Order: sequence, then C-alpha cells, then structure tokens
Amino acid sequence: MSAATECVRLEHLVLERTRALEQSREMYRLMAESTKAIPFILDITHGRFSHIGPQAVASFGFPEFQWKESGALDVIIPRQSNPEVRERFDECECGPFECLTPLVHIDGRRAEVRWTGTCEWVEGAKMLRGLMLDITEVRRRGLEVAASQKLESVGRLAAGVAHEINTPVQFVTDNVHFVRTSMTDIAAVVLAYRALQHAVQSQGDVIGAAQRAAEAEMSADLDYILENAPLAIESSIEGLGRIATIVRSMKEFAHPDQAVKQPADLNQAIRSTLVVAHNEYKYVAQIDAQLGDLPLVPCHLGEINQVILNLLVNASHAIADVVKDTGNLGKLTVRSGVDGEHVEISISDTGMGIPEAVRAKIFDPFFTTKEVGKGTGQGLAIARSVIVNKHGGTLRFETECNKGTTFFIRLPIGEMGAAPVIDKIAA
Amino acid sequence: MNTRIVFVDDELNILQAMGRSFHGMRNEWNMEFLSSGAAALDSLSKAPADVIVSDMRMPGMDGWQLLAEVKKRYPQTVRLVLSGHADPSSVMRAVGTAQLYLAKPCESGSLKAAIVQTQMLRQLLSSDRLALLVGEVGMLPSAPTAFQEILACLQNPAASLTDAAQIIGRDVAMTANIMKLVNSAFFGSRRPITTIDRAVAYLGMDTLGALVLGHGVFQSGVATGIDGFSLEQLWQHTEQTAAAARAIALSENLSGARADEAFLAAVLHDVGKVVFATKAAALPNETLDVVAQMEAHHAEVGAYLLGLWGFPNSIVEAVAFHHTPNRASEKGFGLSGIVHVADRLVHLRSEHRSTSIDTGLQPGYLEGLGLEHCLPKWSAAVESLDDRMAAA
Repeated sequence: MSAATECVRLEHLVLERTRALEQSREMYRLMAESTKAIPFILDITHGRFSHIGPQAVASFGFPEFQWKESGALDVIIPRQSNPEVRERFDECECGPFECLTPLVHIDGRRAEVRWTGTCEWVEGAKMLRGLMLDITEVRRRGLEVAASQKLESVGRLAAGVAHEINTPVQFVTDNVHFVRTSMTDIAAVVLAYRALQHAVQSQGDVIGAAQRAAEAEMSADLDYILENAPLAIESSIEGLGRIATIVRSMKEFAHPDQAVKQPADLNQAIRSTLVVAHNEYKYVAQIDAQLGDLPLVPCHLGEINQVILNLLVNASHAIADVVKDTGNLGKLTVRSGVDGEHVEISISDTGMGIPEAVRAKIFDPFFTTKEVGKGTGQGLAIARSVIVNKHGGTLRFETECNKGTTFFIRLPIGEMGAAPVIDKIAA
Repeated sequence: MNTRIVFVDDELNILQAMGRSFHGMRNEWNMEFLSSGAAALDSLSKAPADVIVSDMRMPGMDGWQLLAEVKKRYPQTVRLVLSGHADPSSVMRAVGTAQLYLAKPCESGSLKAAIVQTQMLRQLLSSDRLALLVGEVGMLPSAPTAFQEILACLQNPAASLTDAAQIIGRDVAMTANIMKLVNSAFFGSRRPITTIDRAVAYLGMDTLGALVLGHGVFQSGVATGIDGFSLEQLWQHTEQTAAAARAIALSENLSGARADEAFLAAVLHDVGKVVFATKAAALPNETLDVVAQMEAHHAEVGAYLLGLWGFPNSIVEAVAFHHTPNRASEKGFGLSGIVHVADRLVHLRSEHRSTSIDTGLQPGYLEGLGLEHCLPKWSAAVESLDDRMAAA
C-alpha cells in the first residue's frame, strides 16, 4: 500500500470520525437545548457566562452577548438586593452546587430559578457548569395547591363547627322557649293567688278563690315548671358557654399570618385546634392532652394551627379505621414540652399504624391512602414544608403496626424567644 | 288514643330541652326520650311508636342504622331525622330510610308541626295496612326506559341540565325522589323547591350524576307482578297527563307558576300505583286482588307518601283527590280539579272513547262549579297537544 493511498484512507477516516463526532455533538446539543433546563458555564470570578443555552434568550429576554459580557451576573442577580444569594456563588467551593435564586427578566419581572451544577477551578477562574431551570410557574402552582388544601380543610372544618354550634343552639332555643311559655303559665298562677289574697283581705269567696288557685297550679303543672325552669336556664348557660368557646377557638385558629414570625403560645394553639376539630374525633376517640409549660415560640401561628389540625384529623381517621362502627373509642394523645432548644409537640393515635411499604412515601406530595374525595395527599407534604422549610424544625413519626402512630413536631425556641415575650406581656 | 313518639339523641341536653319544650303537648303525646339506638329499639319492642325522631350521628348505632332497623321491623312508624349534619354523603345514605329530614337547629314549632302533620296524613288512609305498605317504601323505581334515558343523558358530556330536567320531569318516581331529596333540610335550600327545573339546577350535573350513579336515587323498576299494569304504561300516562294539566291550566289563563304546579301535581298523581307495584313485586303471594286494591287506594297511598316526604299540601291534596276533586279543601277549579280533568281526558283518549258519554269525571263536579261548558275547550287543548307530540 502506497503512502498516498494510506493518506487518502486516513483522510476518509478523519472525515468519517468528524462526521460521527458532529452527529454526536448535535445529538447532545439537541438534547440539552430541547428541554426547559438551560445549560450554562458560568465564570463566577468574572461574573459572566462563557456558555449559555439559547433557551435563556427566550426565557429571560437578554440576548446572548449580554450573558457573555463581564458582570452579566450582576444584571440578572443584582448584588445589592440579593447579597446572601450572591454570597453563595462567591463562597462556593469545588464540588456539586445546588441553589435557588431569584432572577430578573430583561423587563424587570422576577423569576425563580433552580441552579444545579459542579464548581471547579479552571485556569485561575472559578467555573460553574450545569443547568438552570425556571421554576416560577411550578412554585406558583405549588402555592395554589397549598391554598386549595387550606380551603378544603377550612370547608370541612366549617361543616364540623356548624354542627358543633347547631347542637347547643338547638337545646338553648328549646329551653328558652320552655321558659317563655312557663312565664305565661306562672303569671296565670300568680294572678290566681293574688285573687285569693284579695278574697282573704276582703273576706270574699275564699274557698272558691283557693280552688281556682289550685286549678291554675294544676293546669300550669307548676311543680314541673319549678323543677325544670332552673335546669333549663342552667343548660342554656352551658350551651351559650359552649358556643362562646367554639367561636373564640375558631377566631384563634384562623389567626391571620404575618410576614414575620410572632411569638405564640403553642399550648393555646393546641387547645383551640382541639375545639375546632372536636367534630372530627368526638365519635372515635377520647382526648388525652398532656400540655407542659412552654415558652412563647416564634412562628407563623396560622400555619402551625393547620399542621396540628392535619395531624389531628389524620389521627382520628386512623382511629376511625380501627373502631369503625363498634361504638368503642380510641385514644388520641397530645403532648407538649420543652426539649433543650426545642419545643416538641406530639400527637399519638391508637390506629393501625402506617404500613411498612408506605412509610417512606407519606410526606410525598399527592401521596394518599385515603379513598378518593377524603384527602388530597397534600396534608403531610405541606405540614413538612411548614415545619422544616419555614420554621427550621423537624417533623417525624414513630409507628407500630396495630398499635398506632405518633407524629413529633419540633420547633426551635430561638434566641428571640424570651425577649419579645416579656415586652408583649408588659404591653 | 295518644300519639306515641320516641325521640333519640346522644346529647342529653337536647333530649331534656325537647322534653321541656314539648311539655305543653303532654295531654296529646306520649313521649319517650332515649339516648341511644339500642335503647330505642328496646323501647319499640315493648310498645310500637307512631313516630320516631332520631339524631343522625351517634356513637354505636347511628341514626341511619336505627331507622333502617325500624323500617324493617315497624314500617308503619313514621321516621324523622333531626340532624345537625350537613355532610351530604351521610344524608344521602339516609334519604331512602327516613321519610323526612329536618336540620338542627330546628324550632320546636316546626318539629311539632311536622309531627302533627304525619298524624293528620294518617287520616287520609282508610286502613292501617296501607300505612304499612307506604312505610316500607324507600326510593321509588322508575320505568326502565326512563331510567335508561337518564343514564344516557348523565353519561353524555354534551347533555345539559335542561335535558336532564326534561327526562326527570316526565317520570313520577324520579320526580318524587329528587324533590324529596332537594327539599330535605340537609341540602340547605331554605325555600321549598317546587319545580324539577329548579331542583336540577340546584343540584347541578355533577351532584345529580353522583346521586344517580353512586347513590341509587333513581332506580330501574322490575316487572311489577301486577297483571295489566306496567311502569312503562304508567310512564306514558304520566307524561301525557302532566302535559294535559299544564295545557288546561294555561287555557284557564292561570299563571305560569300555577301551570308548573299543575304539571308537577299531574306528574305525581299516580305515585301511589308505584307504591303498589313495588309492594306487589316484593310480595308475589299477596292474596288480595292487587289491581282492585291499587285502583281503589292509590290516590290516598300516594298522597300519604308525598305528605310524609314533606311535599307541599297543595300537591298532596291534588294527588289525594284526583278522583274526587270536590273533597279538596281548595275551593273552585283548583289543582285537584285540573289533575282530575287531565287524567280523565288522557284516559279517554288512550281508550279511544272520546265520543263516549261516560267521561269518568266525578259526577256533578264541573256542573257544581258551572264549568261544564269548558270541557270541549280543554279537550281541544289536550288534543292539540297530542298532535304536537306526534309531530315531534
């Protein structure tokens, strides 16, 4: 074989390989660019992108050259308004990098972006390679789901509370009606006795008047009234007290949340949540509340109430599955106490326990073992997000088959715990 | 004899307060207040009651279980629910078991009126045996064709509420069942709903679908076991009579609302026959002549049933007196009269006896009102209806 032929063969080979390489490159490019995840190489040291997927132009409006200019990072994530986020970039070390950041569109709109990649030093510059994903829409939908879950629980709660109030309203009304008719009857008896008195004083027909008085007593059933009117009043006072408690608890439960955490009495939160959820558990469980002394804990109280409610409702459903129609009552234990730097609230049921197979999944969004229409599968996912993400606490459970399940909420007391408390009490 | 009433509620305060507020009735009512379903069944086994008023949600045996048991053992006892529960699924469960569903809080006056009403209705019935018959009724069965129509309609995504209302409105059983349901206190409507259009609009397509497909609020009737009578025939007669009643009402220049009421009364006029049909299917060994019994008593049986179900008095009366309109309390050419005439004219047409002298009308009724000259006009109105129906 001559050198010339060898040369031609090699040239062919090079062409072939190049084509193959191009094909492969094109395949990877298409793969990278046909998703919403934007491939990028970010030069952190100079705040510019040395590579950016074309989706970025469509998503955020900046033309490609702007991404590649020095200081591009300052445009999309201004240092001034996001010092902490920028610090994450500045201080990131070699290795995997995960981050959620805001990102400003060319028209000023704010997006939320998830970054995932690997950081390494290349020729004296810190480079981050990976994908960025616009999750604004996902976030918004998540918020909507959370809102609809809250609406759902408010709806079922409203029905339950309506029933709780209906019962005392029913008997208070009946009692008051009884007292009203009794007053008319008593008036007739009193009039008859006055006539008797008059007859005695004027020496009239005393015997006839006495007989009429006795008849009036009989027809009014005075003994019955004298016995029952005070009971009717007592029962009404009890009923009105019950209504007042429910209304007060409802108000406390529906505590409007502020943007910042406020110190709150979690025992009071537990008590009012137990009152508003009474209808959920009263036919299936007895409540054993062992509430220890707690400091005020900074929190978003409305959301904590929701979490406690969710756990109470789950616990009563678990117990209901065991007691069914037997008329027996299970036990729902609520404990609270301080454990070091944390407040711990636990809610235990005497249900069937959580089957081994689903234990790992119970905090997943949309996971539910309840029948259709009874739960959205969002309760525990949201509970965890509230406790862990928003409050820096933990939410875990212990479960034993045929014995029951206990959920533990732990919330940090925080250093700001004590001070504002005193202020508030003084005020 | 005093009316015996058993009240059941797990809340002692409620029972005591009821006892006090009904103390004024002690001379007419013999009342017992019990705190559980078991206690109530025990008491009934010693002495049957005329009326039972039960709470729905109770520990152990709940209201539905109790009333289902009462229905089985003592069908003649009138079953009322008094519940604070607005949970539709638990109440849909009860709708075939209880005859009337009242919501807490309920004024003692309303409860008293409902109880008194059940006892007045009893006077419509000529024998205790008929009360037993009505007491066993749960949901009424429809003509199979009508049932197929509503199923097809509910499963058709393009179907509208108007389509559903048209199908329901022509069938006596569906109309009765759905009106009972929407007028149950738990469905939350404060004002009585008196037309099928409004009942269906109130429920909406989804709820209607759930009720029919999931809760058996409508059911397809089986063979009645009564010779010469079928639900299909009744269905046709019902539809024609209802249209005729509306035509007559309109020809008398009555208001649209009044014409709707006449239509509803006419749809329901033979509801008693459905009761007999259900009963005959359940008891094929009935020794008495069921056809004769049905012909003689269906009006009173139907009226008693609708009365217990809380239908307005005007409708109950029209059903009770659709053969004997002169017994109605409403003076003049009222609902009973309209339904009576419509019923007779439709019978005459189907029997091809339109020229017959014997109209089957109550002798002297129209003459007493001075309305005999109107008969040809009404007849024509009904005839033209037939033409339009045939054309369509």
